[in-house]
Amino acid sequence: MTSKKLVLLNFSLFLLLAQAAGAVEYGGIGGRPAYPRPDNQRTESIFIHSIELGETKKEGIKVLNNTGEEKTINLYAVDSVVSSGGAFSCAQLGDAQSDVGNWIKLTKTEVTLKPSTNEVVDFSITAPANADVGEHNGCIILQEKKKSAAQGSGIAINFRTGLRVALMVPGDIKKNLEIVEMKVLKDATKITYSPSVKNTGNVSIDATIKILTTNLFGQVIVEHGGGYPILRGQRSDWNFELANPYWGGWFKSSMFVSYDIDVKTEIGKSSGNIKTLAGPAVWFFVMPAPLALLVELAILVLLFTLLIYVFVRLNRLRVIKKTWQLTSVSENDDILSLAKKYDVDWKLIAKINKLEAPYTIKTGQKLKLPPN
Amino acid sequence: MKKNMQIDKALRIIALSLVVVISGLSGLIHLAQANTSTTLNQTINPGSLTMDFKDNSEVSTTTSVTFGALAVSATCQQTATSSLGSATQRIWIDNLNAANNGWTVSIGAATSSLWHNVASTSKYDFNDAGGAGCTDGDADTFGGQMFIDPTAATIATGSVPTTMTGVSAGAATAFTSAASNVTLIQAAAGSDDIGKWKAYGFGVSQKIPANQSSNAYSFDLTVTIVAN
Repeated sequence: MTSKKLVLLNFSLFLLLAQAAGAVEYGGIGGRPAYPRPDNQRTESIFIHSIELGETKKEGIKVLNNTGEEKTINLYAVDSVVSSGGAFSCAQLGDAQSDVGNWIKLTKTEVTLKPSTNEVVDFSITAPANADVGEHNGCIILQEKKKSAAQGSGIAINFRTGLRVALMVPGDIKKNLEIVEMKVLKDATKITYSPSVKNTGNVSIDATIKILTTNLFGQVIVEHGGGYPILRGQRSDWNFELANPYWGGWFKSSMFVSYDIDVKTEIGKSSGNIKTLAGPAVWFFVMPAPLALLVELAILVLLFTLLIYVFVRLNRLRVIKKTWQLTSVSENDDILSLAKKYDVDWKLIAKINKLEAPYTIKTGQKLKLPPN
Repeated sequence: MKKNMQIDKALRIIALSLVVVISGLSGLIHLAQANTSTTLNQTINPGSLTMDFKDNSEVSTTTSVTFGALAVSATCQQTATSSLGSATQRIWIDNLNAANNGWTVSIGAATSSLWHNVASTSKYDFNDAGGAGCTDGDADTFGGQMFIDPTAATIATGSVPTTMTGVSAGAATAFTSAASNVTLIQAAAGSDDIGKWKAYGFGVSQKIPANQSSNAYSFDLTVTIVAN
């Protein structure tokens, strides 16, 4: 190979290696709090502040473009809304904003980012003088500025990312959860547990929901649940599913809800003062699978037959004990002739009188025999 | 002479190869020169919580939901259930150490939104429960209601070692004037802080009021992901 070709080859290899070193890409566009507090790890995900009436707090959101293309991203603030089941969500841009959506002022509403770059957009939060005590939630939305699908007919789908803004106006803070109900719904293939909890306080609560299902013997066969935020004044519902147990049977599901009851503890922190509520236990029956049902029926029949057999045997022994009498054996009697005479099985005579092979009996020997 | 040329050629090959190796490595690591030890440093910055609609090659794409055409009817009718996403076009969710207490994906529209034709002269509603979704029962003058069924969706991990721990579909429900957002997916606090998931097949259907005029109607829905 000539030197020139070699140089070209090596240069190409250099470009390839150097390119591979920088071409790592993670995720799409998104954001995160720019100034998280080291004392609360939750502030790495959402904005958390205590704010007095009329007070202004400064914050910032780091907008990231982790794609391989330049992106233009719109930013706007909206109120929070409750999604179905009580989950946290963000209001739409077209809805009137009456709460935190109006409290937030962004320094920029549009940023253009080259691939793998980010920019911090600062914003301020001002609590109005008439805000009520308790928690107020909103969102800062990041949405790529692009055309949605052509609207000839049908539904055009847009995508956006929201960052929760949780603001506490201090005062008489109330933290309280109530268990509303626990439903167990069954169909041909699965069981659906539907617990429901209501937050009657004025702050959101990070609750841990636990559903324990036990069999007739008290063994836990499955545990469902998880940690979820329940917003102030809202009812939250969940659905957890379990495939029907193959062997069926009776089961009991119990519900437990735990949360930190310390009113001074902010979101993302724990005081260790945990309250646990126990909900209603629900008993339910699950039909076994067809083959399992056959096996169980067969076992039942066998057990029943065995029971009958044992009962009959025990009853016979009881009758024998009560009615058979000690009788002297006459000359020329043997066990077979006695069996014939008293119309019983010779083996029964041997068993009752504990005779062993060759079952020889003597004249004058006293044996227990049926009455004449 | 010939021998010297060969040696010279070999030396050039070695030198050039060394340049390639060192140049390539410098794109991957930084070396700290010390008298007694060498330390390699690598910083990994946390990412963000993101969601996008992508095709099978994980290239961003747009999507829409369409229903089969219906004839004008003197009675209220419901479309067949259509699907948001498919096996080849899915919602991808990345949590790159951004949401450490779970996240929620919901779908919704502004409360006053309406299905409309191009000229906006003919409309019907998406969140009116009046007459079981068939008649007007809210502040606007249009009937109609949309149903979302997240339980019909396929939700799965998008990479290893992401798990499905704490990730579940929302319940099937309809939009109402009080609830213009439907939960599609919920991830509890115990779900993976770093993970990738994919989802598709969310059921969508719409009740159309009686005597709705013939037109091509369109509607906008927004899917939102937010850290809890």
